[in-house]
Amino acid sequence: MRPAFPLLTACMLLSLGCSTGRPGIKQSATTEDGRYRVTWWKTPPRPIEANDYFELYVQVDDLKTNEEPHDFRFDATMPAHRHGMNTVANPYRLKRDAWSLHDLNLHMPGEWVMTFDVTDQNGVLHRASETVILE
Amino acid sequence: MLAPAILLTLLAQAEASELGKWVSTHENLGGVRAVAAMPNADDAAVLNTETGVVQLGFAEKSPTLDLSYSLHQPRGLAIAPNGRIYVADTGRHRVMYFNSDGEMLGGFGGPGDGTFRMRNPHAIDVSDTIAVVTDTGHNRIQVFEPDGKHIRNLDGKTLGLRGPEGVAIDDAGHIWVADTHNHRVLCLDDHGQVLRAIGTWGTFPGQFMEPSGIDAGGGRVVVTDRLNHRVQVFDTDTGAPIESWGMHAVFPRQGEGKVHYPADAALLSGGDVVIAEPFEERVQRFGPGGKDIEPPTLAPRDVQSHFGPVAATDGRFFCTWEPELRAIHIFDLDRKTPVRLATFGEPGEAPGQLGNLTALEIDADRNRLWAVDAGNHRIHEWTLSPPPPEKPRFDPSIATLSRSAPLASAGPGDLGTTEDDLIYLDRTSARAWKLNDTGHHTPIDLPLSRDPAAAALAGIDAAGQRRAAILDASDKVIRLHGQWPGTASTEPTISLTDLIDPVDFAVAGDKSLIVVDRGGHQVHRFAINGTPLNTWGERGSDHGQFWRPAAVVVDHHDRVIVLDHGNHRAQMFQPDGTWLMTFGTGRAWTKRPTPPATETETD
Repeated sequence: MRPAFPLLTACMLLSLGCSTGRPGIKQSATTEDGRYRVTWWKTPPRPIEANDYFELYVQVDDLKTNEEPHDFRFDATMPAHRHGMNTVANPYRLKRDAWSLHDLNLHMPGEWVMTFDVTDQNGVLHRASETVILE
Repeated sequence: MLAPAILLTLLAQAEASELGKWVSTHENLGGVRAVAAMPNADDAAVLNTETGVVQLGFAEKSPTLDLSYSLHQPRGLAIAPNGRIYVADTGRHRVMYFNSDGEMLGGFGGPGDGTFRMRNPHAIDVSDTIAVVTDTGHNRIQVFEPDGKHIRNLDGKTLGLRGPEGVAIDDAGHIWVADTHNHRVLCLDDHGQVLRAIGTWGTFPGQFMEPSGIDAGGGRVVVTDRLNHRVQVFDTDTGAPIESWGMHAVFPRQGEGKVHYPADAALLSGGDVVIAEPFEERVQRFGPGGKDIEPPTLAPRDVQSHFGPVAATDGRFFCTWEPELRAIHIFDLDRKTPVRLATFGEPGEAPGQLGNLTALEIDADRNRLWAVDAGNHRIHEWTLSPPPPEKPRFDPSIATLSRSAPLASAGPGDLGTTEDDLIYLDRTSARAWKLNDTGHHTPIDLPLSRDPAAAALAGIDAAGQRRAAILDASDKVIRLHGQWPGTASTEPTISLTDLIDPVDFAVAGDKSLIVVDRGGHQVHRFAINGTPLNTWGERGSDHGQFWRPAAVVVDHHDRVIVLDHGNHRAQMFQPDGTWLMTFGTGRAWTKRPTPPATETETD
């Protein structure tokens, strides 16, 4: 079921994350140029399934400087089909290096590429990506 | 292969058209770029951007005015109601105006970023009371009195303009703008308030793919929809589409109403429409009194995709792009014929999506690909995961976007790499920028002249100087910087004044320079000391012939690859001009004649 109160959910996630370890399945990837490591926790805590709404808690670690990331964006596309999600991912910034995303839905089986775009203070976008195959 | 979207467009436009009936074609107008309605005649004036000559009409004994004495790479033309001739003098970032005998009366603008300064103005239109200019490099519209007194700028940031190329004033005094890289048309009042916005990227009626030229009058606004190869007409009061035509040529050079990359439009007093097609070096006239355009035949098997005007090579890779698809092609050159490894990209402004590319660069050792995206004003970097050389195969996912940085320059041009540097040129301000690993831009001390159109970087010489060769398209010269073996003097130059429109060059293994002359449809090879060595090619579509070649690279087997833009293909030669191969996205020919006795599938 889609969460009715994303902000409240985000706060719950954040508080859980601060105290007992964040819920959800943890994964990470490094941007192609090695600047950032992106770690995300997926809830509900089970592998992503086709047409199943989920949320992400995302933490971005700058591996080279102490700069605060300027912006973060998430998207998911199906390269073979040349389309993306039917939902819009609107990251909600929780703190300087963490975001939550709600109402995500990979609505079709097949190969999806999730992209995590971190923009630094110079406006340079750094991308990490993760391929997910849904059956 | 024609893209399915274009085929759909063809079918949609095969219906009968009233305005879009073909009246006449005027060919062999090399350098034609702009057309303008003549106020006191049912005819159009034509501007030749290469020669600076304006032809006043197509009737017998129509006068021609040589305005080259005060113009440099002009792109826009307007005839005022009082007969004055206004020219957007793009190369000098200003507008010049003349009387009907060609005597210069004055000018306004000039290079710079100030209130009335201009950067690459592309078009102008003039009414009784105002002159409006697309200040393309500043992404804004400027409004002047007809004698050049500045009135105001229509703020491009508020309007969100991106590379506007066309402008027109309608009968009500409203300003129509072809907002080219936003793929839309805007109607503004003379203070810049948006009255109407038409279009998004697409092929359906009312959508655009790079609207370029525009003219208005009599309740109609006419737009040349460049990458859809068509003309669209709208109602100025409602913005509703009235009509569109532009049966795409399935063979290059097809005329009699077939339209190919139209750049500008003029709406004549009698209601006819004249369009300029620089790609085909011709002007065509349409109107109710003309003939129906023959419906398109199916594309022949040897028709290629729309290879774009930029290319790069390194190691086994060759890459180019296809503007209509906003997609980059990567080929493997180390097989008998090139094998297409990937096609990726799509139109848009989001990360990884493409606007309008002005340069590509590829590094086979580091598996990196870069593109200068003037449309999105960014420089993109992809990481490549190519298949092993012994098993090349098509894989659309071999390129992964790794970074995308905003450009520091306003007029992005060519791109070059050395072992340590990624350097790009700003053609407008004649500066070179270095992009480091953290995305920081640093201006570098590379002496550039006023229009650095292309560059070849060749590392650092023994004296610690950066060795570079820079083509200045304005001065028609290649300047060498740093110490180049085989040159007698420091900073030698190679004169290209005998060429019509040199646009790109490459350095061969023996350090000879290979130059493409787009206007002359030829390739020229010079020794590093400037001595001409050999020339090949002529205008045509056969193997070894060219139609407006746009780029050249030399691969690691010392083969010269010429992007034969007008024929939608690439051709490969030995440095002495011996033809080796013609190839595109689908197939390659290694033997003459056409169709060849043997042809080889590349996919």
